[in-house]
Amino acid sequence: MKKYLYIITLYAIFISVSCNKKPVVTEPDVNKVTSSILNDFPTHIAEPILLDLSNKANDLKNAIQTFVITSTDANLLAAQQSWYGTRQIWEQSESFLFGPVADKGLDPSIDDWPISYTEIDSVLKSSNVFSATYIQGLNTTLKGFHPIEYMLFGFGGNRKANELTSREKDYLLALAENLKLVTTQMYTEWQAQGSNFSLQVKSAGTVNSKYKTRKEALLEIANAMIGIIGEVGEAKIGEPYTAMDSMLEESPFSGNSWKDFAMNIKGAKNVYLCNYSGNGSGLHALTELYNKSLDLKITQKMDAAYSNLNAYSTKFGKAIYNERPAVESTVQLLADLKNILENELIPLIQTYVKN
Amino acid sequence: MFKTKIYIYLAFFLLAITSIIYSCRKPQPFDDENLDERMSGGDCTAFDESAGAFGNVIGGLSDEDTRVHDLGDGFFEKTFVPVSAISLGVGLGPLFNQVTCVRCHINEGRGTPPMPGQPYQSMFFKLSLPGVDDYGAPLSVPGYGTQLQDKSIAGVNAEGTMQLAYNYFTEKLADGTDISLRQPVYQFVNLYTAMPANVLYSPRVARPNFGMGLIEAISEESILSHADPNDVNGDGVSGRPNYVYDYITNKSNCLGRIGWKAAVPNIKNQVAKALNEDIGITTSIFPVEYETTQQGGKIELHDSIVTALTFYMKTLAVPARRNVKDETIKLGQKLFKVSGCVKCHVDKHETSTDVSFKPLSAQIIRPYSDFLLHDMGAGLADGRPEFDATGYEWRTPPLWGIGLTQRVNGNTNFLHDGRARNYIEAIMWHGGEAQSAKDNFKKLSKEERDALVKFLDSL
Repeated sequence: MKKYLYIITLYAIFISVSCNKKPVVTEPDVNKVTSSILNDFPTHIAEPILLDLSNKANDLKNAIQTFVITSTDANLLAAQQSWYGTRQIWEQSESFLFGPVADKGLDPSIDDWPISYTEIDSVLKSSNVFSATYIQGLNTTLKGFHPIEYMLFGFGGNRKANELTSREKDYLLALAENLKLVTTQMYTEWQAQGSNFSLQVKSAGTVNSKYKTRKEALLEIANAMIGIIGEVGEAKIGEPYTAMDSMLEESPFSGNSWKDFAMNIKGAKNVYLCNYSGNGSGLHALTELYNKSLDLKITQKMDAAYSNLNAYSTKFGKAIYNERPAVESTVQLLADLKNILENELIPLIQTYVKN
Repeated sequence: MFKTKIYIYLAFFLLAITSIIYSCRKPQPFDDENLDERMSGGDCTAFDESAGAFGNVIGGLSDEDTRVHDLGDGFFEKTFVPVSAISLGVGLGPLFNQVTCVRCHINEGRGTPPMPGQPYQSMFFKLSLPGVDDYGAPLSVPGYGTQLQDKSIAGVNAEGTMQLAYNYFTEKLADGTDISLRQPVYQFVNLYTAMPANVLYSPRVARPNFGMGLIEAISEESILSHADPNDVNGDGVSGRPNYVYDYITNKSNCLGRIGWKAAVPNIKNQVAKALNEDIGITTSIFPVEYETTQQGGKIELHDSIVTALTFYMKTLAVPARRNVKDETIKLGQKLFKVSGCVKCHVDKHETSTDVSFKPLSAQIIRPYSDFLLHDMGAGLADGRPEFDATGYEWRTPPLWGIGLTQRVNGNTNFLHDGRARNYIEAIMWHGGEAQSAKDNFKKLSKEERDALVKFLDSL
C-alpha cells in the first residue's frame, strides 16, 4: 500500500511540475508597469537632468565671468573644466530629444555643428553690442556649446589666457549667458510654469495629453533612446570615419568627442533603467516582465558600448585614421545595440502594451 | 475498354474547358473590401507612431539604394556654414532662410509660423511682381527675387522680414457653437532697400516630405482624370492642373505636383530650388547665388549629392493609419465622404508600373488629394499667381499622416500659413469651391464633428 502511495505522490509531483506554466502577465500588471514608467520618466530622468544642465550652464557662465574679470590660465582652466561638466550632462540629455527641445527648436541653439569660423570672425570684427537680444538673433552656428568650446580651447586645445582679446571675452561671456538662458528654458518647459510637458507624459492616454495612449508615449521614449544610439554610431562616429575627415568631428577643440559619445550611451542607459536621480521604473521593467533574456542582452550591450567608448586613449580625430579596425568595431557594436532595440524592444512594446 | 476511353476523353474535355475559362479571366484589381486601409502608402507604408514617423525609409531597397538614401539623409540634416576651410567650397548664403533642410522640415514634418515677434524658422514668403517671366514663372522683384530671405551670413544685410499679427473673429456652427479663427496680418519690416508698392507675397510653411516618391509615381493621365476645369459635371468643384516649368529638362508645360500651389513638377526641381533659395547653395540646376552681389556661377553642391537628396525624399515612407476599424472613425470617414470633402481630397490613387524601380511601382495609395488646383475663396487667397495657379487657387494638400502632426511637430497649425490651430479651424477656412463641403460640416452635430475629427486624426 505504501509503495502505491509513493508512486501516486511521485506521479502527482510530476504532473504538477510538468503543468507549471510561466507566470501569466495580466493586463493590470502591464498597466501598473507602464503607468510607473511614464510617471517616473519626468521625475527621475527628464526634470533632474535638465535641472542639472541648467545649473551646470550657470556654473559655466560664472566660471567664464571670473575668467573675463581675471584672465589667468588657472581661471581659463576652471572655465574649460566647467565646459566639460556641462557638456557631460547635455550629452546625457540627448537620449530624450523629444518634447519642448524639439517642438520649440531649442536644440540647434545649444549644439549646432559645424561652427562658422568666418562668421565668428565677422561678428568679432563688427561693432555690434553683444546683448542678450543680439545673441538670441544670431545664426545657430554662432552660439551654443561649440563656439564656446572654440573660444575656450582654440585650435589644438592649447589656448592660453592671454590669447583672447577683450572682444572675444565679451562674446564668450554673452554666449555662456545665452546657453544658460536656453537650457533653463528647456527645464522650465517640463514644469508647470512652462508648457508642463511632464504632465503630457504622465497623463498619456488621457485627454490631457498629446499622447492618446500610453503605448504612444512609451514608443516616444524608446525611439528617442534608440535615436541617440543610432546617431552616435551612424553620424557622430560613422560620418567622420567613413569620410576619413576629422573636420566632421563634433567636439574637436576640447578633444572631448569620445566622452561625448560615452555620455550619450550613458544617457540611453539612464532612460532604459530610469536611474539618473534615484531609481524608478524604466523600459527595463516592462522588458523584464516578458523577456528577461532580452533585458539582460540590452543592459549588457549598453555596458559594452559604454566601456568601449571610454577605453579609447587616442583622440577621436586621430583614431578615425590610425585605429580604423577598432573604430569600425565600435560602430558595429552600436549598430548591434540599435538593431536589438529596434527589432526586439519596440515589437515587445507594440505587442504587449495595449493602450 | 470503350467506357474507360470515354471517361478519359471526358476528363480531358473538362480540363480543357476549365483551363480556357481560367486563362480567359483577366487580372482584376482588388476591390476596396480587400485593401488594408492602414497601408496609406501601399507597400511604402511604415508602422511608426513616434515623433520619427515621417522619417522612415521605404522597404525593398537594395543595399546600394539604401546607401544613397542614407547619404541624402546626411545632407538633409547637414548644417551649412559660409565658405571656409571646412566647408569644402560649399557655402551657406550669403542670403538664406535656414542653415539646413531639417530645421524647416523638422522631423521631416511640417513648418509652423512663429509666435508674433519671434523670428521665422520654418516658414518664408514668396515674392513677385504682377506678370510672368520667360518661363511663365512669377516675375522677380528687383533686389529681392521671388523669395524674402530673412537671414544672412555675418557682414551681409538680410533682405528684411515680415511682422506678424493676428486678427481674431468667430464663426458660428449650426448648433450655435462658436469657432474662433485667426487671420494673419503681415507687414514688411527692416527691408534693406525699398520694396515696390505692387509687390505680391505669399506666406508658406514647410510641408512634410514623406510620400513624395509615390506622388511623383502617379501617372499624369491619372491625375488629369480628376480634373474638371470647367466643372462640366456641375458639382461646384473644378480641379485644374498647374502647368509649370522644369528647370532640369528646360521644358514648359510640365504638370506641377509639388508645393502649396503645385508649382514644381518633381522632387529634383524642388530640392535644387530649395537649396538655392532657402539655403543659398548653388547646383548645376541653379548655378547662380540667389539675388546677391556675390554671384559667381560656381557650382557648390555636386550633382551626385543633389541626386542623393532627391532619392532620400523619394524614398521616405508614408505612416500607416491607426484604428481603422474603430466605429467612430468609420463614421467620420463616411461623413468626410458625404460632406463632399473627397471631391478634392481624393482618397485612392494607383502609382504607375515601373519595372526600373519596383518599390514605388503599382502601389495603391491613399494620399487624400487630387493634386489639382482649386479656388479656395477670398479668405485663403494670397493674391499671388504662380504659373497657371491664380491668387485664389491652392493645390489640395495630401492629408496622409496629418493625424501624427502633433506627435512629430508638437503643433497642429495647418494650412499654407499655419493660421488654423486645429482640424476644425482648417475646415472653417475652406471657401470657394470647398464652400459647400464646409457648409455641410457646419450642419453636423457635435458627435458627428468629433467623429470626423477622429477620422482625420487616424490618417
